[in-house]
Amino acid sequence: MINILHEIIRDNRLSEDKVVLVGGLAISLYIDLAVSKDVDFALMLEDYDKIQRVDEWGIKTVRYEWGYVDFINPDYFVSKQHKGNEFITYVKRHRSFKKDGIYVANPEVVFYTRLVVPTWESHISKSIRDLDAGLIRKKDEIFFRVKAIADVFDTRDVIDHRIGVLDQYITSYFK
Amino acid sequence: MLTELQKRVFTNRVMGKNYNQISDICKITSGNAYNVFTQTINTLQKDIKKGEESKKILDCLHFIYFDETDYAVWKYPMRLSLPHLIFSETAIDTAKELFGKEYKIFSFIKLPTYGRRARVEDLIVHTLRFDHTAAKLISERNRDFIDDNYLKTRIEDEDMNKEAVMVSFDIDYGFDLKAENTLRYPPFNLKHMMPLRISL
Repeated sequence: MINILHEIIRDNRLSEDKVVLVGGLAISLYIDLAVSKDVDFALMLEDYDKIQRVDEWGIKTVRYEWGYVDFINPDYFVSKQHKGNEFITYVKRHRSFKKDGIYVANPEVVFYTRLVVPTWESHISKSIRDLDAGLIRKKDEIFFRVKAIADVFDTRDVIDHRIGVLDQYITSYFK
Repeated sequence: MLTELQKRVFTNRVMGKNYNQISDICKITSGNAYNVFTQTINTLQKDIKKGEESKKILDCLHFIYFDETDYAVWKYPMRLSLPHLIFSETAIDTAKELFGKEYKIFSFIKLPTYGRRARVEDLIVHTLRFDHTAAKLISERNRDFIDDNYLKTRIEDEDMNKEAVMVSFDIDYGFDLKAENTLRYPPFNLKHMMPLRISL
């Protein structure tokens, strides 16, 4: 698996130091989880600009025979007072672990990135899946950390409402 | 109850290995492998009258097998840490003991069929237990192959009404499913709805 990630980085002429693995695959390196073969990378803006694909809602997609790789513009993860690159630096430094040379985001980062983007509603079911796979025991801790990330990047007003909605789904599903 | 050799021969045979392969794995002749397997089955069948344990082991002969190939065939490629085996509920503990190291073990309340390749409806119901997005997309990408009545029956058999309503299968298929106070997911992201190998 890690070999594929290195191959993607090499194919797209990126630098390992400037990309962070997010999405379900990042969670599956943290707990045992069946996930789609798609890969999500958040990356520094200068590397995002290198990807020769159409930008759709801050995502550039490269299609491989086995699945899709989404490269995500980090500006979508922060408020206007901040730059996307600050987010990548922050995650690398404080909220990720390194696996064979690749930065892998912690679960709270994956939850935060799903909640902060405009298409957040379509990610609710993925968060439910991850919680059901074992993260439910750490739900409060993860939500606390999501809010801490939101405080750093001034997105708390957006995140608070969306966490509330996600919490309603959690209550409905796990009751 | 079974010796280590009997267990190894039994599990390998159940998983489809032929007697030559079993002979390599267990370091016995293929004739011996055949004898050990048939004697094991005979012993278990005789012992059924004596106790439940034999029946549980024999129940392990019936299972559904899913691996990454099934998900690729049904147009939602997934990464599984191990292939999945689904047994009847009565066999689950024994199955975990016999196969748990090499497979992820699940159970169905009703095991409708068994074999190495199961129906797409069973794959959807199984997937609905751990990944709602995946179940929804497999359903949408294979709509023409799905038997609506069979899917509804399997959802009800496995007591998955709540999950089915969350992904709006009742609306998609016109089912009447009872699941009170269940929140439906908002419409799913259409970005990667197209199956692979088809031009966008």
